[in-house]
Amino acid sequence: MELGQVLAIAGVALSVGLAGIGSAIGVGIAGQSAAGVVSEDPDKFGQTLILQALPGTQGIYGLLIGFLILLRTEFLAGMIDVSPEAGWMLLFGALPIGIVGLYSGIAQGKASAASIGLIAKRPEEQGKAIIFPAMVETYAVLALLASFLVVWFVRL
Amino acid sequence: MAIVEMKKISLVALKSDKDKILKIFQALGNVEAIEIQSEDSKEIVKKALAKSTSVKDADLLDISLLGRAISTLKRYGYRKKPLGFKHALSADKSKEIGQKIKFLTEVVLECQRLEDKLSDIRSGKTRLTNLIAQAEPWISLDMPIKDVKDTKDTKVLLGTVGKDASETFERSLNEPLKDCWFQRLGETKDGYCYILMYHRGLDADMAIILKESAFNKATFAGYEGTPKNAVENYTKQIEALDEQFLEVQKQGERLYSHIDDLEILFDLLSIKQDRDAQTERLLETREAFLLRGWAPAKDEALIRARLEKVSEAIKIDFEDIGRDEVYPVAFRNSALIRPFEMITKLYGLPTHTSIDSNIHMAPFFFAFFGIMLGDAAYGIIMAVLGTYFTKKLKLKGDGAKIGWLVVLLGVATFIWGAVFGSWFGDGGARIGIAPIWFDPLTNPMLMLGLCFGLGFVQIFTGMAIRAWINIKRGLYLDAFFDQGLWYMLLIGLVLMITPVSVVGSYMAIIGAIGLVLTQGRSQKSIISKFTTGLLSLYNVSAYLSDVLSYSRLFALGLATAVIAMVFNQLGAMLGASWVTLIFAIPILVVGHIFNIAVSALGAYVHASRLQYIEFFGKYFEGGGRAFRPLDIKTKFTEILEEEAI
Repeated sequence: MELGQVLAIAGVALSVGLAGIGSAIGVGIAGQSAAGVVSEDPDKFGQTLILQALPGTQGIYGLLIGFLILLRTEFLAGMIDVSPEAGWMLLFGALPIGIVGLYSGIAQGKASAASIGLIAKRPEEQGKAIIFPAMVETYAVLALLASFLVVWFVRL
Repeated sequence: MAIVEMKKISLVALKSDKDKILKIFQALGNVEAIEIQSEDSKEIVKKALAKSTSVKDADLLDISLLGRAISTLKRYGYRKKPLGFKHALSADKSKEIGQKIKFLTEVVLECQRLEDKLSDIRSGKTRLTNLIAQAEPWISLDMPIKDVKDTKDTKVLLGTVGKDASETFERSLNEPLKDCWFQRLGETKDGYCYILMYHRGLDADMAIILKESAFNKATFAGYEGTPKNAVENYTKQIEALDEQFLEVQKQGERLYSHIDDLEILFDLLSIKQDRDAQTERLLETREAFLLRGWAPAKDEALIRARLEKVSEAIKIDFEDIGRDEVYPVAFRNSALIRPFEMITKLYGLPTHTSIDSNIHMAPFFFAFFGIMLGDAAYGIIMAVLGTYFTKKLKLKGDGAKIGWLVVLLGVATFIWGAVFGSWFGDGGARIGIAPIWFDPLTNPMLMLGLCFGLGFVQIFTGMAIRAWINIKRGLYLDAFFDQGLWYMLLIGLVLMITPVSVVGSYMAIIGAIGLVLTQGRSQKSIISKFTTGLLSLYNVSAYLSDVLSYSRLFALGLATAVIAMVFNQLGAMLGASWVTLIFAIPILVVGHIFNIAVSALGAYVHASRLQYIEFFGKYFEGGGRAFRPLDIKTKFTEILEEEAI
C-alpha cells in the first residue's frame, strides 16, 4: 500500500467522520429542544422536525466530499496509484468540510434549538425561525465548495 | 401585481338585517370589520353582544365538545371515502341539519357520556387487576381472612419477607425450643408470603427476628373471605366490565351513523362562530348597528349591488384612505405568481406604502430552487405528486398556494435538471441522456460563473427596485446617490476584468468619488460628512460577499447530484447479478426518496435565504398587517351555495 493512497483514505475518514460528528451533535441538541416543545404541543411536530433537520446537512456534505475522493481514486474499482503529494492534497482538501462541518454543525444545532424555542412561542414565524440556523450553514456551504474544488481538480 | 388598494367601508343598517349582511360579507370574503372605539359613551350606542340569531339552539352546543364527539365516534366505525372527500353542502341540507340540531346535541352529549363511561371502565379494570395481583399470592390460604386472628395464648401473623431475607428468616424460626409454626403460602414479585403462629411468650424474640428480616405485615383491604373467593369475585367484576365495554362499543357503532351530520354541523357552527367574532367589533343601538372596516376598492360595486337587495334601510359609504392612514395589506397576483406569496408571507408582509415584492421575487425563487434541487426526474415526481394532491384534497387558500408552489418548483427542478443532464443523479448519463447545456460536475467553473452571474442580476434588480421606490416618492437625488452611483462603481469594477478595463476603471473612480461626496449627506459637520462617505466605500465588500453567497446554488446542486450518485453506485454494484438485484431496487427507491426530501428542504431553505437576506435586504420595507376578511373556512364540507351558511 502506498502512502498517497493511505492519505487519500485518511481524507475520506476525516471529511465524513468530522462533519458527521458535527451534524450528529447539532441534530441532537436541536432534537432535545424539539422534544420539549412537542411535549407541550404535539401539533408542532412537523415545524420543529424541519428545524431539527437543518444541522443535518453538514454530515451529508462530508459524505459527499468523501465519496468524491473515493470516486477520483477509483477506490471501488481497485484504486489507482496516488503519489504522496496528491495524497496530501486530497487529505488537506477534505479538511475544510471536515473541520467547518464539525463546528458549524454544533453551532447550527444551537441556533436551531433557539429557533425551536421561537416556534414554541410564535408558530407563525416559521420563516424567520428557519433563517437563523440557515445563516450558520453558509459557512459549511463555503467549506464544501472549497473542498470540492480541491478534491475535484487535484492532479493525480 | 400589487398591493391591493383598500377603501374604508362604513355601513349603518337595521339590526334585524345584521345576520343577513354578515352572511353576505362572509360569502364574498372581502370585508374586514375593525373594532370601533366608541368615543361617545352615551347609552344609546353600545358594544354589540356576540349573539347571533340564526341557529338559536346552537348556542347551547359548545363547538369544542362537538369536535371531541367527532373524534370519539371515529373510533367506532369506518367510512369508505376517497382521499380528500368533503360533504357537499346545499342550502336544503343545511336547513335539514339546522332542524335536527336538538337531536344532534343529544348525540354529542351521548358521545360524551360514552367517553366518560369508557374511562370509568378502563380505570375500574386497572383497579381490579391490581387487587387480583395483591390477593393471588395468598390463594393457598384456605380460610377467610376475618378468621385469622390471635387467640388467648397465640399470635397469628400474615405477611411477606423479601426473597433475600427469607432463608435466614426460616432458619431462625426453625431453631429448637421455639414454640412457633409457619408456612410459606405463596410468592409475590419480590418476596414470599408467610403465615406465622407463635406463643405469646416469644413476643420479644419474635419482634427481633421480624425486624431483622424486615417482615412486612400484610393488609387485606376490601374483603374478609378467603383470598381465593376474592380473586374469583374480582375476576367476575372484570368480566362484567368487559360486557359493559362491549355495550359501549355497540352504542358507539350505533351513534356512528350520525357522524356525517355532526361534521356538517361542526362546519356550520364554526362558520357562525367566525361571524360572531366580527359582531363583537360592531356598535349597536337599540334598532341599528354600525360596521366599519376595510374592503378592496375594486369590490365596491359588487358589495353595493349585493347589499341593495337585502333591504332599503342600509346606508353604506366607501371612503378613500387618507394619506397617513395605515391599512391592511393583501396581494393580488396572477395565478403563476400567487403561490410565491407564501414565501413573502413567511418573511413578513411589506408595509402598505411599499410595493408588492412577489412579482420580482418569484422568478428568482423559481430559478434558484430549480438549480439547487436540479434533477429532471425529481422535478417530474414533485410536479405530478403536487398536482395530484392539490386537486384530490381540494386545497383552498394557503393550502392551495403551497400545493401549487410545489408543482411550480417541480417544473423549475425539471427544467434545470434537463439543462444539467441530471436524471436521478447520474442515472440519465448512465443510459446516455446528454445535458442540454452542460454538466456542472465536469465544468464547475462555468457553473460557479453562472451562479455569480445570477447573483449579480438579482442584487442589481434589488437595487433597481429600491431606486424605483425612491423615484416614485419623488426622492430623485436619493435614487441617484444611493443606487445610481453604486451601479456605476460596481459595474465599473466588473468591467475592469474585461477587455474594456479602461472604461471600467474610469466608471469605478467616478462612482467612488461620487459616493465619498454624497453618502455622508445626512451628517452635520463637514468632517463627519467626509468620513461617513469614505467609510461607505467599505460596502464594496458587502456587495462582494452578497455575490459570493450565491455559490450555494452550485454547492447544493452538487449535493443533490452526488447523493443520487452514491445510491446509483450502490444500486449498480448490487445489480450486477440477478440474485442481488432484489436488494438494489429497494435501495434505489428509498435512497432517491430520501434524497428528494433532504435536498428539497435544503433548496427551499437556501432559496428563501437568498431572497430574504440578499434580495429583500436591498429594498424590502416590512411591517405590514395582513388583511383578514370575514370568510368561510370549512374542515369537512364544501359549500355549494351561499344560502347554505
